[in-house]
Formats: sequence, C-alpha cells, structure tokens
Amino acid sequence: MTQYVIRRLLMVIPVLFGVSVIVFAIMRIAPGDVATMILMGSGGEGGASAEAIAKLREQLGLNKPYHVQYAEFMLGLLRLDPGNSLWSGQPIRQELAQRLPITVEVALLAILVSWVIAIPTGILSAIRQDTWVDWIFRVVSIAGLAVPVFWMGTLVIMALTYCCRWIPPLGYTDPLRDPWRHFQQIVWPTLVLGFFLSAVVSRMTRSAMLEVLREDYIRTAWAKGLRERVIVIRHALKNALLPVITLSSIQLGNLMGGAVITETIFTIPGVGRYLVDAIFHRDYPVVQTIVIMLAVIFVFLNLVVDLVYGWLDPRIRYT
Amino acid sequence: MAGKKWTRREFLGFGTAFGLALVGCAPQPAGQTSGVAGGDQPRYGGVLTAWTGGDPPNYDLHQNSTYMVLWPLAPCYNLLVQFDPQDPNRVIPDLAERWEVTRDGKVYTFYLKRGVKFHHGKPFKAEDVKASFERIMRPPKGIVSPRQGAFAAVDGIETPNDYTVQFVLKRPNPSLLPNIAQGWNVIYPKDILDAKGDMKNDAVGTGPFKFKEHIRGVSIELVKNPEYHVSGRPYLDGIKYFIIPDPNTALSAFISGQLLMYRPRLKGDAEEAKRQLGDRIVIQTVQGYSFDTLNVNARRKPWDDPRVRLAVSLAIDRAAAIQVLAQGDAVIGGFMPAGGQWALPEEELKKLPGYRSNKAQEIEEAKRLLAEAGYPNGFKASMLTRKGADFEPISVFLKDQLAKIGIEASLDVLESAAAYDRLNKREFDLAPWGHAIALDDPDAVYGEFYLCDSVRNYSGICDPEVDALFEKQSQTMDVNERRRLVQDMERRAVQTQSKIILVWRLDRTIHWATVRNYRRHPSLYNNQRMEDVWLAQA
Amino acid sequence: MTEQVRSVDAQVALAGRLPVRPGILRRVLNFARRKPTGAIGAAIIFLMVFTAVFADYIARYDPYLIRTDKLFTPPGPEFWLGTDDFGRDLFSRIVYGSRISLYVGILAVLFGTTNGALWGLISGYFGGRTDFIIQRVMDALMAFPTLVLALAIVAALGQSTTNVIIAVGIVLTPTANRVIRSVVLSIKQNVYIEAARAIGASELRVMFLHVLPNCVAPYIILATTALGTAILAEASLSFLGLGTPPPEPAWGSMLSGAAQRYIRQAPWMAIYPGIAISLAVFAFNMFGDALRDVLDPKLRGR
Repeated sequence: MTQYVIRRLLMVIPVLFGVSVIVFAIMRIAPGDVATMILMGSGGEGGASAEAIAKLREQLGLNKPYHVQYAEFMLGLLRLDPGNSLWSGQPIRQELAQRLPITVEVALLAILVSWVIAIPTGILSAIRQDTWVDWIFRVVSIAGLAVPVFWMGTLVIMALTYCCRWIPPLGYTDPLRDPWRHFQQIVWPTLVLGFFLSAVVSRMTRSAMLEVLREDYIRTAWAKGLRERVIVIRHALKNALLPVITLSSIQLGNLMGGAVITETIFTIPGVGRYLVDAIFHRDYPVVQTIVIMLAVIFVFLNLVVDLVYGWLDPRIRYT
Repeated sequence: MAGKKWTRREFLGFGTAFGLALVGCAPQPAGQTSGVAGGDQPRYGGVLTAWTGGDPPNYDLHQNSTYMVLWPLAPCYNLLVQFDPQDPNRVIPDLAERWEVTRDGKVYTFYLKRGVKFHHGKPFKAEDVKASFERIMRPPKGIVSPRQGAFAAVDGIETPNDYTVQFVLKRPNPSLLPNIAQGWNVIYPKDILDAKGDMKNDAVGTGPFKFKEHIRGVSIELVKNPEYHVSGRPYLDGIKYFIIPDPNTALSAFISGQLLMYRPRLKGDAEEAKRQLGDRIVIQTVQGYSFDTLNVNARRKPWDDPRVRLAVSLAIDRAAAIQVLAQGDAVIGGFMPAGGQWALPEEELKKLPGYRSNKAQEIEEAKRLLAEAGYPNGFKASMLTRKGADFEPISVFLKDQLAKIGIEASLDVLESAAAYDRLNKREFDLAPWGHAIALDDPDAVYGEFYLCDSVRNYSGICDPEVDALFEKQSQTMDVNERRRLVQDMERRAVQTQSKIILVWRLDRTIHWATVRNYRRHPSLYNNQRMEDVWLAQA
Repeated sequence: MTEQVRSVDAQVALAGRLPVRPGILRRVLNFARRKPTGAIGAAIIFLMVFTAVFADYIARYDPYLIRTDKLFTPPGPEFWLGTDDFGRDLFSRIVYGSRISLYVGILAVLFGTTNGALWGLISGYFGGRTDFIIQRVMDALMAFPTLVLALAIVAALGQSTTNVIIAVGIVLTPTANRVIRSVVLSIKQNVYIEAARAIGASELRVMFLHVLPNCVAPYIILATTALGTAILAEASLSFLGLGTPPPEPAWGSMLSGAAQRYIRQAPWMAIYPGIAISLAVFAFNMFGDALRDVLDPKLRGR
C-alpha cells in the first residue's frame, strides 16, 4: 500500500514533465503572440508596426531560444514562483492565490449539490426501476443535462432580471467579510453547475445500483431477510458509489479550469476565466502555470480516488 | 430564497426613490445637452457604478489603445487641453489655462495652471508636460507609443519657465491641438517616469479621482481627490467600474440598477432597457467612430487590378449592410467619420460608384468590369475572419454579396490572436474587419490607414496623389481651405478602394437618469473624466 | 454530405440490429411498453436521423439564403420558427443543423469514446505496468482543460468542423477510458473469469470473450451519453467562439453568438436551436438508459 503510493507519487514526475512540454509546445505552435495582442489591444483597436512588435517581443524575452524559455520558466516554477504575466505584468502567483480558492469553492459546492440531488434520486430510480418514480426522476435529471450550461445560466440571469429586477450583487465578496452577500453571489452558479452535473451522477448511481442489486451477496442479504433499507444503504450503496466517485473526481478536475462559462455569465473571478483570457492573449507563462497546476490537482485527485476504491471495495488490491 | 425577497423589497424602495427624483428625461437626440434636468442643483456625494468589458492589461495610457485601459484611468488624470464636453469639435483649456499660436503656425505656447498637485504631492510643472509628450513622441527603449505618428510635425518642446510650455513645429500643423486633446495623452508626473520608466503599475495624476483598488476580474475603484485643483469638483465620492465580459449579464446588471452607466453594443439592448425602465434611464446616441470595412490585399492577384476592386465595391449593397450588420443603426460614409466636419456630404457620397441606389445596374457594371479584367466567370477567394459575434457577420454578409458577381469566397475563421498575426503579415486575400478611429482628424485617420507608408495600410494601395494632398492639407491652417483639400483627397482616395467602407456605426451610452451632467463624446476615449458628473437622489 | 449520411445509416443499422431475437415488431412494442422513456428517446432519435437524411425535402428554404428584407421575422406562417439576424429561415437551418450536429456527434464518439474504451479495456484487464502507463497518459490528457485541447487543435490544424470533431473526441476519451477500466477491474474479480483462466483460456480469449461482452452495456451507455455530450461540447465551444465556423447551421453555433446577442429582441433565435439541442441530448440519454437496461447481460431475461 505505502509502496504503491510512493510509486504513484514518483510517476507524477514524468506526467507533469510531459504536460509541461506539451503545453509549452502548444502555445508556441499557436499562431499569434502576446506582443501583437498587447499592441493591437484585446479588441484590435490599435495598429502595430513590425518594428514595434519586434521591439516588444524582445523586451518580453520571446526572442530567446525555446529551450532557454522553457528552462527559465520551469526553474521558476520549481521555486514556486512562475514569474509575471506577460499581458499584465502582474505576479502570477498572487493572482492565482486570489482566484484558486474561489474556483475550488464553487466546484466543491457544485459537486455537493449534484450529490444531494443525484444520489437519492439515483437510488430511488434503481430500486423502483421502471415505475413512474423512476421515469420522473430520470426525465427531470436528464433535462438538467440536456440544457447547455451557458444557456441555463443566461436563462437564470434573464429570469431574475425580469421577475425581480434583481441579479446577484456584482463583484466578488469575501465570505468572511460578508457571508450573506457572498452566498447570494455564489448560489446561482453553484446551482446551475450542480444541476447540470447531477444528471450524469444520478444516472451513474442508478445503473451502478442496479448492477450491485443483482450481485450474489445482495441476494444473500435478501435471503437473510434483511430490510430493504438496510440492504440498500449498508450493503449496496457502498459498492455502487465506486463509479460515482470516479465520475465526480473527473467532474471536479474539469471544474477547476472548465467552469469558465459560469464564471463569465455570473462574473466570478475564478481560474477558468483567467486561463481562457490568457489563452486568447497568448500569455504563455500564465497558461503554462495554470495547466501544470491543474495537472497536479488532477494527478493527486486520481490517486486519492484510487485509494478510496480500495477502501470501498476490498476486492481491489494494489500491486 | 429569503434573500431574494429581501432584495426585491429593498429594490422597490429604491425604485420609488428614483421615480420621485426624476424630471422628464426622454431619450435625447445627439447634439442636445442631455442628462441635465432643468433647475436641478448639483449634489455632492454618491458612487457612480459603471461598466467595463475587461481588465486593463496595465495602467499606462500612453502605451495602450483599448478603452479597458482608458475608462477606469482617465478620471485620475488631466490633459494639457481637452475636447469641450458640450462641443465635440472644440478644444478648450485643461491644465493649460490658455495658449497662443504664432502667425506662421509653427510655435504653440501653453500657459499652465498654477497650484496643481499630483496625487503623491508633487506640484505640477512644465517639466511634467515636456516629459509626458517627449515620451509619446520619442518613446525610449522598451516603451511603445501607438500615437507617436500624430506628433510627427513637432520638432521639440521647450520650457521657458515652470509654467510655460512651447511646442516648436517643423511645419504648420492644425491637427496638433486635437491630437494633444485626445483622452490618451494625459500628463504624467516626471519624477515617477524618471524613477520607474513607465506607468504600467502606477496611477498617479492630477485628476479629480484617485486610484483606490483593482481586483482583477471584478472591479476597479476610484475615490474622490479632495485636493482637486478645480474648486468644487468632483461631485462624486467615487467611481466603481465593474468588469463584466458578458453583455447579457451587463444589461441585466444595468436594469437591476447595479450599474448606473453602460455602453450596449446594440440599439436593441438600449431599447430593451428603455422598455423596462422608461423615463428612469437616458439613452445618449452619437455618430460613433467605428466602421465595418473590407480590406483588399492589392499585393495579391487579382486584387492589384483596380477594376476588380471597384467591382467588389459595386457589388456591395450598403443599404443592406446597414440593416444586416447594424440593424439600421449605422450610416454610409467614406474614409473620414460620417457626420463629422471633414466627411463628404451624403448627397455627394450617394453619387459615387458603389454607393448609388440602383444596385441592379451597379451589379451589371461590376460583372462587366470583372469580365474586362479577365474573370467573366468570377473566381475564388478566401476571407480572413476574426472569431466572434462582432466580426463573423461581416464575412457572412460579404460572402453573400460577392456571390452576386460570381466571386466565391470561403471563410477562413481564426481567433483574434491568429487573425491579427495574419493581418499584420498581410497574409490574406480579403479581410473583413471592424476598425475604430480615435479622432475625427484627417492627419490621424489618413496617417493611420491610407498613406503609402501607414502602419495600418493593410491593402498596400499607394497613390502618390493622395499622399501629396495629405501633405498639403496637413499644413493648411485655414479650416475652410483645409476642408476643401481634405474632401478632394477623400474623393480620390475612396475610389482607390484602399478600404471598402461598409457602414459607420452609431454608438450609445445608456445611464440612469439620476446620473447628471454626463455628455457622451463621439469618441469612446474622450470626456471620460466624470469630474462634472453628479448623482441626483432623493 | 454522403459520408455523414452513411455514418448515420450505420448507426441506425447498428441500433436496429442489437435486439436480434425473432419477432422484431413484438420486441419493439414490448420495449415501448416496458421502457416508455426509452421509446420516446428512440422516437426522437429516429425523427432526428430522418430529418438529417431527408433535410433537402423537409427544409422549406435554402438554409444559407440571406434576405435583407426579412431580418428578425418572428415565427409565423411564412417562417415557422422565424428568421435570424440575416433573415435566414430558422426552421430550415435547424433541419440542416441536425445533419451537422449528428455528424459532429457520431464521429466524435466513434473517435473518442471508442478509443478511450479500448484503452480502458486493455488497461483494466492487463493491469500492472500497462495499466500504469496508460493511466498516466490519460491523466496527462485529462489534466488539460477542454479549451486548451480545443485551442491546441485549432492552432495546429486550423479551424474547421473536422477539428471540432477531433477536439470533442479527445475530450471524450479519458472519461470513457476511466469508466470502462473500472468496470473491467470489477469484472476481473468474478469467479467465472478465474474459472476461464483455470481451464487454460488464453489472455486474449478471456479478454475478448469474457470481459469484453460485459463492457458492451457500459460502452453503450457511454456512447449514447457521449453523443449528447458531444453536441453539448460543440455548443460550449461555440459559446467561447471556437465552435463550428459560420455560416454552417450547427445547432451549437446557432445557440451562441448572434442568438445570445439578440436574445432580448429575437428570443426565437435562441429558443428553437436550444430546444433542438436539449431534445437531442435528452433523447440520446433516455434511449441509452433504456438500452442499458435491456442489453445488460445480467439483467436480460429477468
């Protein structure tokens, strides 16, 4: 077990190395560069002469050989100081320190919301398979999946605007300073995301539950005359949660960088928006830092999930 | 859900207050003073909440070109001279109390206001003006200056004493004053420029507001400068710019009252706000400085043939363009901003090839021209298109228009960074684009786009005659004479199809009627200081 | 267009062939009675495929035809679902859009989910070093946010429908991989696998004859969900400005861009493509669920 964890941790190194090289290469292959973007403005308002672009490129250090750029960046990252954004000149670490907690909060709450909705409905759907309970739960939960997030977000904002002439307070409020205001800002994106995620989780819970309920040990439990509730919760649920946890870990990882749409619509200053803007601006160090950071989060999340597997299903052994 | 109720009730209270404070503020046509209800006394206090679409990359106005930098920083600064908020073509004093021009038009002497202090306490002197403009005109290493070209005629800047500045010119240049008055060319403190080299991380000016806080991705907050040199100003306690990239969210924030000021891209959005809020808001519409155009790359065949370019211009139905691209919210125009003091009169424009109303006949003519040029059956071309709802429609529309004369265009859609790259390297056949100019001034517009060596002459079309006329008008001090020369230049230049102009867009700012004494300038970059703005409230 | 039609046909054929027992009509009716939600899903999918195949006959106008005198026409007898910002008929665009959406969805799933599932099977079955390496590759792949991947592909290959398919496909790969792997891990523990090994069956034989059939049901669930996901992913990419390029009438592009922009003036521009997307995703999911219940070897006959 310990050996397994150590080996997994060692394997993190080549994965992260691969990720860093790939993202470095991708950003350099992509046409356009940050110097042009700075000079022309994010809306393309300005003009830029070839000399001005060349001058700025040199100033930003973009003329250095690629291996030097890569080495400098990675050395900085190893010291946990990825340097400054090329676009804004601001320290990346400072900006991430501000944005990451927000993103993590929204993501965890969204996962929580999805579980609250999905696990009970998924279980009920499974044990009442092919009854109207099953059908209604499935129709509702799949409806949540079927509506694109940006469309649902827009509809929520529009509905609030037209019903109440109200939308969540603009800006972002520190939860410690004003929890109520913070709650108002965070609740809608969390609900939208949670509802969206719940569809897949609910389906997974249902099918995993169905699977488990046909297992021999459950039949044994029935034969022993245990009550349904005990069988479902004590015996079946634990194993049925395996795929659900896999799924949620994947979702959680995706939300770290991928919640950009809800962040845009609900003006949440999270990591996703930062990353997407950086990609569009060709802000190389920012993109590299965030992608590598997400990779780290992913790798550890996966490790944790694998360990949880072992805990939930003793049949799986680590070799 | 309890929260929603609470806020709704709070909001209703708000609404009543707004209603009481109102005195008829119907939408006002451009050219009228709006936002000022008769008989109201300016009131001190309150925070103006305004919209902006994104974070400024840095705070150095001299080095940037996007409104995202200008809007939140302009209130921290003064200019040497400024555009009259009430008359977009007139230049009035700012930090210079008055100025003189020598008879030959070669020396401008500015007499500066005394007793002005920067936010960090340093007194404002002539050296600050000199340092700021020399930085713009002759940027030191590492500094980019997009508006450098506007000051090509300036030979040097003298400071005879602490409160006098002289601009010495190589030749007369009537465009000098409007260029100095551009919202971008703010006066920076010399000591900070000397110490840091740039203003990318500093916002220290002489303006009515001080920079308080910038939370990236969220907001930028300014507070009142109690020591502002204009007595009794500003009225506001502060300004808070909220960064909202999504236009739907921004409009909702405006309708909910969280934003007091917003610039919707669409007429329909302004009308929607009006439908919702009626007289509680004001719409200010101006003839804006942005236009949709088709850049034709004359370095490539067959676009080097003027007949082919003219054929394309003839094929485009500009009346349809106004409807399709701007929902009727635009006008036709040449190279100089439509409706401005240099533009060709509309009646004359309507007689030029491509602008005439009999489209069927023009299309016949276009086909004939193509046949003469050796393309009786048309040909294929690719259109460099920027991703996004602002740009894609131009290409979709033009593809349809060109098909009418047998030119089969394919859309080559790229996101901004890649598209800029191709445009700058001139790797395109056709590049439909949206441009904006900063100033209604022939030197600025032609200098940027239409001369042989202009940085943004994307077409590569060079007409020595146009350059000669440009040189001449640029030194003509008499306004009427200059206008005549500019219009001659315009007649000739438009027919080279250096850009095929589709529409000039109208532009608008909407604000709650409680926001008083704000006057939208046709340029996005002028009159953003908010020093005279006040908030009415019960 | 022939290519996509063929693949659509193939999909239908596949779906139709799966319940192979005699008395197809009876089986279909039986299925509809026992799985009404699945039947509804199937009906919608059938309708969508039908529309895609016969778009030329169903559409009322040319979907690309610009009418400058008919901008933003509300739904009515002339234009059933109204017109868009170019005066193009929305109904016709949605009809043709079904082709593009199915094309993008099916190809992305064929490319992405299948790929992921195969590697998941290998990874889960062989375990050990193979599993380790494959999983680290998947980790690296998943570590890239969707958009970075999409942008990478767009940057390297240029912007086109094909590249949207590849981007969406790669996004689908690791999910499929992980789920199938976890299924395989569970199956491997079963007694009959050990029994097969004990009687001397080769590894490949065990993998394909005993493990693979057990992966079919999860694969079907994944693939149907993935079809919905692919359509959604295309829409999300469009929201960020990286979807199917104009003027193609892809549902995702129709729902973002201009539709979002004019949502207050011409809500029909967003509503109908939105309904189309939602119905399609809904149908694929419903049908997938029902198929799962029917196809699962452990459930069959109960």
